[in-house]
Amino acid sequence: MNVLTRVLAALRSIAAVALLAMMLVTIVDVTMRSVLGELVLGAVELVQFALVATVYLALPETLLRGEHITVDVIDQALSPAALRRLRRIAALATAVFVVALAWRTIPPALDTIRIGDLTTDLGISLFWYWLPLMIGAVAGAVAAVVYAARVYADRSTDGSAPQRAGGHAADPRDD
Amino acid sequence: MATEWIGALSIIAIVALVLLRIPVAIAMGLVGTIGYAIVDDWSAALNRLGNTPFELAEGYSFSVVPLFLLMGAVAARSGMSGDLFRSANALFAGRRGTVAMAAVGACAGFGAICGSSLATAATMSRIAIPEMRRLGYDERLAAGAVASGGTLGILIPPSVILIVYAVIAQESVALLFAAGLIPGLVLTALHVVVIWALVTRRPELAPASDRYPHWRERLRDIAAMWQMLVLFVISVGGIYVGIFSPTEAAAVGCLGAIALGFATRRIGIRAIRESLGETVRTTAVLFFIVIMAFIYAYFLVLTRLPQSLVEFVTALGWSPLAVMLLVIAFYLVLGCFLDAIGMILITVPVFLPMIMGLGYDPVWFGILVVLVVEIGLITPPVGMNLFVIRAQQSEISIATLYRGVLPFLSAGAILIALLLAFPQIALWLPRVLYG
Repeated sequence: MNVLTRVLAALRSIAAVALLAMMLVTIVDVTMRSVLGELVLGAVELVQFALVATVYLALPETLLRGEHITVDVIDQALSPAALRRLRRIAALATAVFVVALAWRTIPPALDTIRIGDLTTDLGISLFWYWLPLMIGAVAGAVAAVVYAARVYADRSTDGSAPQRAGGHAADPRDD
Repeated sequence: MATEWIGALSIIAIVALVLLRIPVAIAMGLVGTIGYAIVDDWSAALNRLGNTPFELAEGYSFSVVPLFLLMGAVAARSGMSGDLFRSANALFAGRRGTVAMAAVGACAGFGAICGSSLATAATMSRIAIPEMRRLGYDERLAAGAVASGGTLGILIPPSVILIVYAVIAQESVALLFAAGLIPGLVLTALHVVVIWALVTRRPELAPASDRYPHWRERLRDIAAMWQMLVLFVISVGGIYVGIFSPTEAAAVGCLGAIALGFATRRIGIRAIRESLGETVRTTAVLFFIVIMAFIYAYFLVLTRLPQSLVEFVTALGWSPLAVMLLVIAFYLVLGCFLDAIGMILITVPVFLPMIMGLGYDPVWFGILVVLVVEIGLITPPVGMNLFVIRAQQSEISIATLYRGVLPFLSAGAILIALLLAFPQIALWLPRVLYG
């Protein structure tokens, strides 16, 4: 495993912890409401933070593995060379778009520090909500560029992308 | 060029990009951003691109998705799918085609704790297809029953697609979960009827099954589904009776699945870690599409396409039913080429204002859309459920799969007709539960 793979796996592990925390906070909130008739202060804000961390910290690894949903209906009709070209265009478009996304998320994230916006219940800075988003977007941009470079370097005759041997890049839980 | 035309062209652009293998999320994000820049300007478009991802932090209701996905992932690892298959087998025992009917029944049961058609098809194909092949079932019937039965996962609540629809249409998840239950059960029954009709006409498709020697054994096997029932009652049942919000129900369901898995010693820490890892990656893929769909939706609003479509359809003077049939035909054609989430996210912001303008209920429309999208999962050339089964049962040809699902398309078509004729099938339960 190279450094990037390890870093992205670590981010995914943090995302998994955030998901577990989301579940536990909600359970505690339900229990407190049922037993004591009280709500956990800031439970909704904690769940929202956990969701942002879950999604954006797991995103980079999915970009490195080329796991985003792609429709491959055209594959049968194409020559391996044409298919390889399409894969390269798709990887390049993904990399360009995710780099632009990362670039544009940084200014509003930094604005939250300057403006000093706080959450209603817990009174914490909104920057902490932006942080996993910013980390995920920047790491995602690196991952998308590395994936595109791998696709460009791939010389296999069947035009299959690295790591995933053709077919749908769809996870069995996409829908 | 009128902005409405730019909006209309954007739909064609997305479909073209997706067919050229651009990931669905990227296609929507690119078209949405570039379209926004054309209609407004680049500065506004790039600001929209940078700010929209943060909207996830403001959507508490989104958290229901990863929690229900986690519940399904844990349930799959703790062997509940095998229990369901055994129960359904016992339920239908003694009839020709028992195992195919059991596969459909188990798919429906697994859909009640899972929320994903592809996961349901993937899980049940590993269990049911080898068993049917061993017993001498026709391959087309075996594969068709599981591929089509797998689609029940997104109609029977909890359903990830229904949640996505709820978010896009700004409808209540609880209402949609209530509306999906009866159509889901009717569709399950229709699948069983299709199998019964097939094996009655052509008995060589499936062998006759043995009867249980004793009712006690049968009852014991039927009871094997108790874990699924417990999870369904505490999670979805909790939403129905108003004890839990959808997010709370999903969290309780997750904890229940983990507790049951540990109590029955079927899972350990490793299975939990695998379930968490799988769930967060799926969640990231799913929400990346949703966020990009938001960017696209902002652009669509700028183009005024949805409003113009309402005015255009009103001016045509067609009956609401004629318009609805056209919309259904559009979805069925699109379903042959696009995946379910992409279809919902691209089309619902465009069609929903028009549908509501015609006097249709948005909750009812949600169920209809999910049903039509569901049919898209088994129609060639892009039938995702078929690909999932093919990936796991590589010796079954794709042509066999296509032929196998054909008879089951009639079940979906009948339910569409029933929903059009009797909207109460979807709307009765929400009215009873929520007034």
